[in-house]
This record gives sequence, C-alpha cells and structure tokens, in this order.
Amino acid sequence: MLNFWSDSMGDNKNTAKHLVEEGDLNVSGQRKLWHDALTDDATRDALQRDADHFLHQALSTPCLDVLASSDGAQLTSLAGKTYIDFHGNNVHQLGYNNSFVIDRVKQQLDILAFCPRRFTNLPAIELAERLAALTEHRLNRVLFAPGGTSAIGMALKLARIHTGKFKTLAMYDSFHGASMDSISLGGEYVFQQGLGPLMAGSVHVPPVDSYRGMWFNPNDQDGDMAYADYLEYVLEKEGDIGVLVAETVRSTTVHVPSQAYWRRIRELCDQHGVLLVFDEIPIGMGRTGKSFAYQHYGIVPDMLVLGKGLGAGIMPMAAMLCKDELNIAAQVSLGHFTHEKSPLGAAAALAGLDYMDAHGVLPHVDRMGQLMANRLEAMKAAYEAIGDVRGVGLLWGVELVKDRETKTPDPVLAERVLYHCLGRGLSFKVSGGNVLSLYPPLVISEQKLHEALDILEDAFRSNS
Amino acid sequence: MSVIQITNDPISREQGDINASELRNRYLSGLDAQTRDWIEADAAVFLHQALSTPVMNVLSKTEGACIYDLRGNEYLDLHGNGVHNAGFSNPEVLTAVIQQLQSQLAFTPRRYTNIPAIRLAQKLVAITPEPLTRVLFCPGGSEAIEMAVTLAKQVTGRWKTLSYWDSYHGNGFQAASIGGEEHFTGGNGPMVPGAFHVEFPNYYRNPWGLTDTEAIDEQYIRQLDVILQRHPDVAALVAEPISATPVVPSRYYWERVRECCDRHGIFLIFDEIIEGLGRTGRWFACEHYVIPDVLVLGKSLGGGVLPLAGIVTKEQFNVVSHRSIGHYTHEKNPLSATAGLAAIHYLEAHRLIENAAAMGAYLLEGFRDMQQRFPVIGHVAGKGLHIGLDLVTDSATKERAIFYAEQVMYACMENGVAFKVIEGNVATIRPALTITKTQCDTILSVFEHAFNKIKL
Ligand SMILES: Cc1ncc(COP(=O)(O)O)c(C=O)c1O
Ligand SMILES: Cc1ncc(COP(=O)(O)O)c(C=O)c1O
Repeated sequence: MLNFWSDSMGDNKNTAKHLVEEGDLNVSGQRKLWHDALTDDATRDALQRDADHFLHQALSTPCLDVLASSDGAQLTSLAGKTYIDFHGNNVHQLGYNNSFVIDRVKQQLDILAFCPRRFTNLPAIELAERLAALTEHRLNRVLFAPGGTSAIGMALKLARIHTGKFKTLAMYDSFHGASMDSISLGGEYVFQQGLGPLMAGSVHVPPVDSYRGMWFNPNDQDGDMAYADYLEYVLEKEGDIGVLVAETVRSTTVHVPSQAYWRRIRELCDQHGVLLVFDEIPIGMGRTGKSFAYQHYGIVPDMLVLGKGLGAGIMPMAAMLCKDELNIAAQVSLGHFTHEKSPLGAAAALAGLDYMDAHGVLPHVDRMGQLMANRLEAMKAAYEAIGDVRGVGLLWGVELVKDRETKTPDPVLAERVLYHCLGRGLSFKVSGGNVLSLYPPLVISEQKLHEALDILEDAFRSNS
Repeated sequence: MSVIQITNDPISREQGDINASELRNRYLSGLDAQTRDWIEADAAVFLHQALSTPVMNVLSKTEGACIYDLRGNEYLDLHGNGVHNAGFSNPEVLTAVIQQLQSQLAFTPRRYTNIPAIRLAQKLVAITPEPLTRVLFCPGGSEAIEMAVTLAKQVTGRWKTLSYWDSYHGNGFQAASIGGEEHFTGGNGPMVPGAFHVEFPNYYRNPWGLTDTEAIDEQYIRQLDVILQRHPDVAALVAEPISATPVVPSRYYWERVRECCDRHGIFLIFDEIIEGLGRTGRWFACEHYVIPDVLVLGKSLGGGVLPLAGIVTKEQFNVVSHRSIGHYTHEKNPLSATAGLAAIHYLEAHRLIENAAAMGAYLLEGFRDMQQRFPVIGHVAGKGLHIGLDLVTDSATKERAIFYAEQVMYACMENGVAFKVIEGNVATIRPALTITKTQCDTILSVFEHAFNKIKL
C-alpha cells in the first residue's frame, strides 16, 4: 500500500460532509481500493514522489493517477491507460493539445513570450478586440489576469469603486475562486471554515434548484421565480448591495435558470443600482453552445469573467470584460498582476477562437448536446437511480438517488459509478456528493461521445 | 452616503512611475505613427489602470537582458516585472516548453499529477534551505501569498496578520490588505480584517536621526512588540526579506523577528517572488538571514514565459490534507513546471547566481562611485542584482527628487536603458541575471550621462 494513506484526515466529520460539495475526495474508501489496484511500478513511484513533495490537499494531492500525455478528448496515464475526460477542470474545451493552438503558441514563443506591464503587444490587443466583438461590443473594456480567481477579484474591486458600495451578493454553494475575497463572495462553507473573519458584507441567497429546491414550482414553466422574488427582498432589506456575482448556469451541479429568472434579475439590478457580474470561467467559450452563456438569456451583464478554456487548454489566462461606462478606474490598479497582457496567453486564446470559427465548434456543441441529452434521458428512463438529468450544450448533471419519490441522494452509488467509469476509461467529477458532472471537450467526436456514454451506461447496468 | 470615497488626489507614485505625467506625454509624442496607433488601439479596448494601460510603448520581442519595441529599438530592461532572472526568451526555456507542448501534456486536471510538476517540486525542495520540504503551486504570486497566509491561518487557528507599510504582496483583497500601499486599498471600502502593519527598517531615512544600525533595528523591533503585546494572536508575519526599494536589513533585525515569531507561535512568511531564484546573489534572499516557515516564489519561477508561483513550507505543516488552501485550476501545470525547471537548470549551469553576486557588486561599486560625483544620488543600496538609487534634491534634508527621477527615467529610456521608479524617487535596477560586465558598463554610462545632462 502506498504509505501516504497513513495520514489521518486530521479533522472532524463535519469537514468531510462539507467537502463533498466541491468534488469527489481523495480520502474515500473507493479511492483506497483504486490505489491498491494500481500495479505499475513507475506510476506508484511517481505518485509516491508527488505525495512526498506536495502539500496534501483534499482535492488534489495525493493524486488519482499520473498523466503522461493527452490528446483531444483523451488523457493517457504513465501506465498507458486512457481516460476520456469529461472533467478537465473545464480547461479542455477545445480538447487537449489541440495542434492548431499549439502551433500558434510555438510561433508566439519565437516572437514575444512575455511583456512587462508598462508595455503592450499586438496579440493582447487583438484578443481584447476579439472578445469585445464576441459580446457585440456591449462589453468592450477588458482586463486580463493569469487566473480566474484574480479576475473575480478585479471585478469586485471595480464594482466597489463604481458603486461606492462594498456589499456583495452571491449564491450559497457557489464557488468563485480560492482567495479570501472570492471565498468570502462564494457560498461554500468548506472553503470559509477556519479562516477567521471573512470579507465584510458578503451576503448570500439560495441558488435556483429545479430538482429539490424548496421554492421551485415544478408546475410552472418559470418555476424558479420565487428565487428572484427572494433576491429582490434581500436587495431591499440590505439596501446597499453593490454587486451580484453568479454563474449564469451553475457548472458543477448544473442548474439552468429560466429566461424569466435572469431577465427579472437584470431588471432588479438596474432598479437597485447593483452591478450584475457573470462568472463564466468554466462555461464561457462555448460550453453551452453559445460563445457566452448569458447570450441564451437576451440580457447583458455589466461584467463578464472568463478563464479556464480561454487559454485554449494550454495557457493560464483569465479576463474581465465590462461595459465602457465602467472604464472609471484609471487612477488605481484593479489587476496589476505580473502576467497582465500575456502575449503567449493571448496567442493561445486567439488561436482557440480561430479554431472554433474554422471548425464550427458551436454548431457541433448543439448537435453533440442533443445527442447527450437523448442518451442521458434514455438512461434515466431505464435506471431508477437516476433522479434527474439537467443541462445545456455540453454541460450536464446527472443526479443519483436512492428513491425517486423521496429524492434521497445516493452518494455511495455515485462513488461506485465514478470508480467503475474511471476503471474503464472515463473520467468525470462528482459534485454535491451525488451529482455526476459531465463536461466533455467541445470537440469530442460523435463516436467518442457514444463510447464514453456506453461506459457510463455500463456502470449503471452493473450497479443496479 | 457612500462608504467608499474616490479621492481626486493625484495618482500615487508609491508603486511605480505612472502613465499620466507630462513627461509621459512628451515621450509618447516622440514615438512613430504606427506605434502610436497600437498604443491607441490598446487604450481603446483595455480598462485604464494607473500602472499599465495606457502604456508607454509596444514590444515586438525580448531577448536575454533586453526588450525591443516595434521599431526594433533595444532597451536593457532593469525591471522586467521580475520574470527575467534567466533572461527573457531564454532559448533553453523555450526549447523545453516547445518539447513539452510536443509531448502532448500542456495541462493536467487537479486530480492527476505529472512528472514535470513533481520534478520541479523536488528541485525546489533541493535548492531551498533544508527544512523547507513541501510545495504547492498556483499561477500567480498574489495567489501564492494567499495560500501561504491561509496555511498559517489553518495551522495556527488564528487570523490576524502582521506586515509592512509600503510593501507590495499582490492584489487580491487578502494580498492587498497585507500590502502597505494606499494605491491598492484606497477607495476599496473594508478590506480583509486583522491586517496590522509596522515600518520596515530604513537606515538611510530612519526618523530618529540614528546612525548605529543596531540602535535603528531596536526602534523598528519596538514597533513589532507594541502590536504583539496587544495582539499576541497573530497568524503570520509576511515580508520581503529585503524591501523593494531596496532596504537591506541587518541580519540582526531578521534574527530578532524570527525569535519574536517563535516566541508567539507566528508563521514567518517570506515573499521572495522577486528576490528568490538568485536575484540577491544566493538562491534565496532568506539565506542571507533566517529560514522562514513559508517561502513564497513566483515571477521567474515560470522561466519568464509562463505564469507560475508557489509556496515551499516545512514538513510539520503538511497538515491540511482535509482542506484546499490552494485549489487553483492550474495547480500542477506541466507546461509552467517545465519552464521553471529549465530556468532553474539554466541559472545553475551558467552559474548565474554567482554572476548576480559579482555583477551586483560591480554595479554597486560603480553607482557608489557615481554618488561621489552626483550629490543627487542620496543613497545607493542593494544586494546582488537588486539595487536602488534614492535620488534627493538635497543630501541633508533627503527630500525626494521626484520630477528629477522621472526625467532620468525618460533620458535613460532614450538611450536604451529601461527601469522603474518606485516611491516617486527611487530608481530600481534589477536586470536579468545573465547580464555581462559590458552591459553593466552600458548601464553605468547611460545613468552617468543622464545625471550629467539633467540638472536639478
Ligand atoms: C465558477 C468558477 N469561478 C472561479 C474559478 C476560479 O478559477 P481559477 O481556478 O482559475 O482561479 C473556478 C475554478 O474552478 C470556477 O469554477
Ligand atoms: C514582492 C511581490 N509580491 C507579490 C507580487 C504579486 O505577484 P503576481 O503579480 O504574480 O500576482 C509581486 C508582483 O509584482 C511582488 O513584486
């Protein structure tokens, strides 16, 4: 047995209970069995070295496996095992090692890789213009940062300076990054616990939940409007909230609000002088079938935050886009991150956007999304354990329950399904303990998608 | 009434030369039409910021110790945002990155590991002082500061922090709260609570008129004691071992601080985002002083090509396996790790740490010599290739020569030497560690020329 398992969890059960909200853990019983079954010496050696040198973390080190390479929809481990990756930390929108992107990044390496902040460079300018154009120039001011978390921080600062108000509103269960500001903004206890006082004025409301939400009305097409009503109530009671930050579509447990919901919220924000910020770090750049998810809703946010897939699977790259009227912070430094106008990051992102245009990625997402919807619905019809299937484009959540009537979550089954799939070469994340989060690369072929869904279906068959 | 007031004060010069000055305008009007078009395109699409957009020029390439604008003008860059320890566009770093791209592993999701990340972690453990054995990565320095502080909070069960006025540790709300510059907190409303600040030692500008180093240190230590008597429950003290201007503290100062941290159970966190990886003539600046509980690295860790930062801490603090103190998407990024590893190998193979010590001593000597001839140079300080010139209008009053410093900056720029001015009047000199004696001579003569030409 690899000896890093001798580490105790070091904390109480309470932590574990909250931890499952963010993802499948590396301390579960199934995980131990998984490790015991890894027989390749080189893999065991690398995992041990990894566990010896990195600080242990609930959701990274010790790791699940060692990767040697990746290509398209697939990861390949050191031992030669392949995984179709439905997770990819959402960096893999255009597939792993997209050769079109790589060629352009290699070219840029020979030209200009880094640019100190007092200078600019052509790729950065072109990317900013391109992103603004994708929003139909509604969001035509841009600021870059290396990571999504930092870009959220920039949005929060700009909101404070523009509105003169410091309170934030966000959803319970939301994740917007791992820094003190984004942890305070976000609604996950597991990240907040043990940090002492958080940022002042971080207010939260319940997110839309169309399956087990206490306010959801299943008999109404716009059954989530009670959530908007409560949000209005909170805006009124709090009085001076400056900004609302939310994922347009919740990425991990996958909840897709109604058109009416976001339109109402846009109105409420305008009425109350609240800036509306959409965090599309994991789902922007096409995951929902449009460039940006807000484009499904006929509204425009005041700011849009992008990251992950923006760097086209190669470069750490994030961005905050905003309306021109928010260009009011010239006297300060909202970002000021070392890699601000990264020419290399910009080259990767531009290549990604060119690739998307040239290969019709968005229509492909629509087609594959339909295929996925049909197959998941068929699985739901066949297997009692599937309580709900939700999604849009290539962003899907499958909720597993012990009983369809009571909707009792079945985390044990979710974990069994996960490891069954990992064993057969399909990787995904489990969110909220019992929701399978399925995000294939947007460029996945029909055949690969079927192959992956066959593995998933086989897991249900064997475990029912 | 709004809680947050936006001041109409002139833009702060604490952090750097700003982009709204008269001299900046004059510089811009001297640029060619094509360059100005791009600068305008840049200003039209990016959010304006005090220290970036609108920018001062457009770069077309970088190489070794130099950067080049669109016209092909070459500048020895003494700033580089600190990523250029192994030189800009280091050929070995580029080759390694391209190879890694070709071997088809540019990214791994967080649940998997990869060999480049493990190798870099092992290498850092090998080159950092002995008790530092555990690594965690993330893309940006600001985020790494957050991880260090979060680790301290989790391990100590406390949440207050102690750090220094005028310091910069990054620009998330936590990092900005720890930093001591108005520019990054003013107008923001409430920041992260519990951030206490004291003054960093300053021997040249100490307010007591003292000349004895140890006596000055005692005064600064007293400030720490005053706070710790009232707030003994501080989680972490965060500092750059040598300040950015730089002030080079005595060894005695850090030994006293280390003792103080031990006595109170406080984490000592050294931010070596700029100073690590050879800049001060040792692998890490802490080697001149004491060993911290957490060492924070960034900037040049990504080889001057990729964003990469991280922390290295002691084995006994590997106790957060039930938490996610980092949890950044690009945690074990294999491409960034490859770049970092190649840069470290390059620094090692070409003895650039030794070069930093030697060239640093040479430049210091040159500037000290110049100081004899130009009283406007009030003070010269530095360690390795981390040097600052404190320019003053009067050597007795030590009044900061702010307009003069800016004139010198643009004059040097015209003659192919780019540097950054901080705190309004301090010229900072931090070239790539690849710099040659000939290039050092160029730096010295370009400065000399500027000092000769520009009168107070
Ligand atoms: C919705 C959302 N916001 C923000 C972030 C933070 O991005 P990063 O990890 O690049 O800092 C993430 C990453 O997981 C995310 O999913
Ligand atoms: C000393 C110091 N700490 C932290 C940072 C922040 O690093 P980053 O810009 O990568 O977030 C910087 C960057 O300028 C720095 O100089």
